Amino acid sequence: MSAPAPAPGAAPAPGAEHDGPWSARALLGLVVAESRKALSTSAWWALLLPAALLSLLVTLLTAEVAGLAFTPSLAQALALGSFAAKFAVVFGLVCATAEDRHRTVTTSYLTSPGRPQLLVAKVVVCAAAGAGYAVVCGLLGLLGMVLGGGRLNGPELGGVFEVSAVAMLVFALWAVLGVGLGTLLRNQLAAIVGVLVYLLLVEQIISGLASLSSLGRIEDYLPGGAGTASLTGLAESGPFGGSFGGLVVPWWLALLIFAGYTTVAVLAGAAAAQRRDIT
Amino acid sequence: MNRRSVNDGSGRIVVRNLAKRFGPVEAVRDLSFTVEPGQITGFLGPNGAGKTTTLRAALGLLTPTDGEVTVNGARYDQLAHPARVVGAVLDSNGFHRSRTARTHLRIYTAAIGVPDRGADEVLALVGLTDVANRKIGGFSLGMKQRLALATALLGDPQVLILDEPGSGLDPEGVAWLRSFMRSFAASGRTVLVSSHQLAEIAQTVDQVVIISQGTRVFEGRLEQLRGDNADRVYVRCSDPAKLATTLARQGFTDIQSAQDDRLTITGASATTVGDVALAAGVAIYGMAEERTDLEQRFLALTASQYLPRTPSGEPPVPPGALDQTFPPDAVPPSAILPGAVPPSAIPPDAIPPGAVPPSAPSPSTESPSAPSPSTAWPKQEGSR
Repeated sequence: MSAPAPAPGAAPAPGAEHDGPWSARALLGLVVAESRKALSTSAWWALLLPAALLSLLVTLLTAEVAGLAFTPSLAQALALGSFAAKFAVVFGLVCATAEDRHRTVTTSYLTSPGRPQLLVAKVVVCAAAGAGYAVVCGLLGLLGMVLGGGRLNGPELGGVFEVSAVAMLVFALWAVLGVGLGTLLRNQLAAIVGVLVYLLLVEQIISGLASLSSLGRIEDYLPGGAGTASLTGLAESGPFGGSFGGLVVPWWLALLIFAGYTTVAVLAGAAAAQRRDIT
Repeated sequence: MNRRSVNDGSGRIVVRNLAKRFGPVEAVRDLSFTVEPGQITGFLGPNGAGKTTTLRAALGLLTPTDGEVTVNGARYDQLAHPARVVGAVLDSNGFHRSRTARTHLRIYTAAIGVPDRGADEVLALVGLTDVANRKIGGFSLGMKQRLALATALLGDPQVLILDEPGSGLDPEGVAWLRSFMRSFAASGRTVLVSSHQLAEIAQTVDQVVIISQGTRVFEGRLEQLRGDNADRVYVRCSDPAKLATTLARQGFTDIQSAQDDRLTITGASATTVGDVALAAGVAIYGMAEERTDLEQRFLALTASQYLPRTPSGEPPVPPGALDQTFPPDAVPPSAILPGAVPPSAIPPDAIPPGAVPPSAPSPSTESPSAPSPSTAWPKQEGSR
């Protein structure tokens, strides 16, 4: 062991006093820290891998089997919005809840000028990661179409790119939704299971019951449905598009509704984190 | 608020009327003390006394129910660069197992805003350079403790707060930590270190704050903890006057003569008195030493905390009575003085009523943990 010799210079670096708690430099540092956190564990690729493979598989199958029923852009919207997006929200959940699970939250709070700043950094990093997921999954989706022998002429390819581009925004919102909910719920396993059960089961039951009642079709107003509709609504419907189209709201409104849910989740997470005692 | 005026750079920690309640549990109540820079302050108390709660409140991790803690005159959340002011080791398990030590540290160099080479510097400082690229999951508790300390030092802080840092460290690590804290404090910075064992930090600290059941029971220098109960030696000898004069010449002036051949010397050890008597040619017929043990005082001060309930519901035994070194049935000093004089013949002023000063809150006055003779020699020849 080396001899104890604390480095001298207790005074803060010159100019450091000018950095406020919300300075760009402070936030940038936290963003770098959060990206190092995210990249130093296996979660990012362990979730991206199945998401990308699933995208490839879905578009491959639709091109192969149901090529006539689905336009390429709808196949892409389906692959990304209904399947791969779930991995983006889980990534956000993992990022936010890992701090509590591994008890790094104490050090993270101690090294941050404040708890809101830390959450902002997480939101930025997870949004970027979500967009990255969309790019990779979009490319794999395209590959699946080609492998499945899909006809991709000019206009159809344009539609696929359109869906893929909006998917970057939608995936970013999914990941941020995960950050907000993860910050709110804290328990990693409970958060992941809870969110997936809601998206895959509870929301389907709710919209199913609603469609039987006087409420009618409300799925585009629910969080999961809004996220999905913002992509499927953009896609050109094929002959059987009616089952996906016929949306209650246009894709951009669905996107706004989804962004609203995401904002509420982040604000709720921020409020909960602010008053939480770290014991 | 003018942020420049918030951080006064003093390195002083001020706990002011701090109170923290967790549901029905009052973890800390009306706690006030000050930690000064340039020295090591020990923060002592039994488990559950509220040490960790206080430290976490100081670090902005808990919101106090009442009162506040300031570092450099500011609450932790008011500090623009908290990690450059305060470094803290609270938890030796706050790591992601699959990260390497270097990766872990480089996350926080970025968060704090210091260069990445700082990670390697603190690794070298705590002696973990060789395992920098190993995953933390394979670290021993002692290695994690050192990594936690390294993390705390990344921001080159002015104030260091350590919560029970000794646990998990091997003796070499403890010795290293001690000298580290000393040099850290010697450079004019602040060290606040908590422990539930007085012995663990008694050699290191300059100042102690003792809490029990969430309130302060003592604040001051370690020597003050002894109060006016310095070590005493009771001696029976051939020439008390000559021994007293000789001792006085050596600087031991607090001498009381009890009976014709007895002396009570305060502030000296039996060895010293024996040596002086030998040199002066005074024969010693009997001697008893009474040492005020710091641990006893500490236990007495914190005695009312966590009284264990006996199955029969009997009133519990104070922790001091459980101390093995000083059995509760130890005989009073007078009883072991040999000779024909019965203990009752010794005037009361020669026997201290108890080690606790009257001013202190003293559950110990009736407790068997009152000072007991640690060593006694039935007879020692002062001259050949």
